[in-house]
Amino acid sequence: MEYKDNVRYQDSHEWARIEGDVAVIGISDYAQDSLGDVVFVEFPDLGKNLTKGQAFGVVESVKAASDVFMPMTGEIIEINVLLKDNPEKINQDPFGDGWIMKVKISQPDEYDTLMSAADYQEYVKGLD
Amino acid sequence: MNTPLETLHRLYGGKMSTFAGWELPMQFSGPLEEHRWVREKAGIFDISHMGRIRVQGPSAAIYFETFTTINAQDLTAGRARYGLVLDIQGRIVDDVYLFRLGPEDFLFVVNAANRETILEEFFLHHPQKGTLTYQDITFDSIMIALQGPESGEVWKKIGGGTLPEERNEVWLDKNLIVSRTGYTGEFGIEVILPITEGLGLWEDLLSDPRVKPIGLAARDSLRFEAGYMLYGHELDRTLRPQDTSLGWAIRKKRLELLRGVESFQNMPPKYRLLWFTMEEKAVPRQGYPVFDSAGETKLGSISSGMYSPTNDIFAGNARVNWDFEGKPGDPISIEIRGVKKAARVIAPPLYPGGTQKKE
Repeated sequence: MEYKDNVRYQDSHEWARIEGDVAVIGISDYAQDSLGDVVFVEFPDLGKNLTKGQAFGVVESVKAASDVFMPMTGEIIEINVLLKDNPEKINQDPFGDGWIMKVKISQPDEYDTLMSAADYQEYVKGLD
Repeated sequence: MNTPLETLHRLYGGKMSTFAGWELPMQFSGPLEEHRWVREKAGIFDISHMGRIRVQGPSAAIYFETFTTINAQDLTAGRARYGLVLDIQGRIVDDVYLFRLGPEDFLFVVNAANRETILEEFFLHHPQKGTLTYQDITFDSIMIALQGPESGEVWKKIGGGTLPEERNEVWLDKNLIVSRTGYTGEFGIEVILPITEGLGLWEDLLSDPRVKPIGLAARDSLRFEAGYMLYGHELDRTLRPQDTSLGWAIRKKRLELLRGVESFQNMPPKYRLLWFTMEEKAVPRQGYPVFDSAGETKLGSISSGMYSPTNDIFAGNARVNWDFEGKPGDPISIEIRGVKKAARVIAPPLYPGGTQKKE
């Protein structure tokens, strides 16, 4: 299980990585492993403004449909179109090619409220 | 409950989950990879949770005809047949396989979730105790399915050289039962044997590089593509045979022996099973509402729906009102999380395979 430390995590297993005023968002290695084979991603509309904690889409595995939640507040500016035909990228490379979308963040301070890799790893340990 | 293979499943990386009260592997390497492996090579499934009831005696054949749709009296020894168990109101209690091992010797293979109901309703208090004996061998044996285009060659190497030639053929050799049956749409066999031998066979099969262990998730997608029913999805106790697509599984002879026959023969059909594929990408799942193409009239709801790995499409089947006469190609819509998505009626099965002969 990988806990990348150039991103920060929230308790519902999404990660965010800051690139200027944009956050790249995806789900953790732990999350993709728990879901199993991903077969479909339902994306939010571009231009939509969502606040931290709101559901932005659905990741569907063979097993189940799981809501995914905004780790930071902002406007959806890009989605990972690669996932439309290759949703398995979320399983294969959750921190790389499996990113889900980019958000123009409006509350940069929220990043500090997210968990570090070490804290997230501790948190996950408590779940098993 | 655990099957005797539970420890081995964990050892081989099975992700365990509870199904009908049994701890079973949902997946090993991953359901999509496992699914494709069975379509291309050979997979083994621990199906020891399936209920297995050995029934013997001169009245056994006729007794089966009183509560199942199977023509048990004309079933040749060394053959298996699919059918339905009905209650007194003609409703579907289970879908089952009956193996005739000898003139007065049967093996009744039932779904894990219905094993206790069937024992209770049809065996514990059955009226002909004198001429019929039964034994629940579920916990004293292992049942393994070996399925896939390479499974015949694998079995010839590991299982001793020969295998039943025809679909639904059954061999009994001391404590070993081998049948040309399965639930995947592929060539394959199912084997029932004592626990010690079964543990050895599982490991012997896995030592062959053509063979991988397959979990329940892939078992579900394989049976779905092949068009097979799953009790609790396409079938349940609210339905009668005329509400399903299983007319072919009802015997033509001596139907009057079947309890509840009047209620199922006189009752007009309420539903039909409609198969569809999604026009818009989205995952249809059990329980989602099904509408006409305008999205105005509700037709029914989904029984099974999923991603079909072989066809790389999203597909499903639905229990819709009998009076909806959707033909293949007709548009319908599926409501997914409040949004109606376009779908199209198709003719099953999604995967015709090599073994789809209905008998």
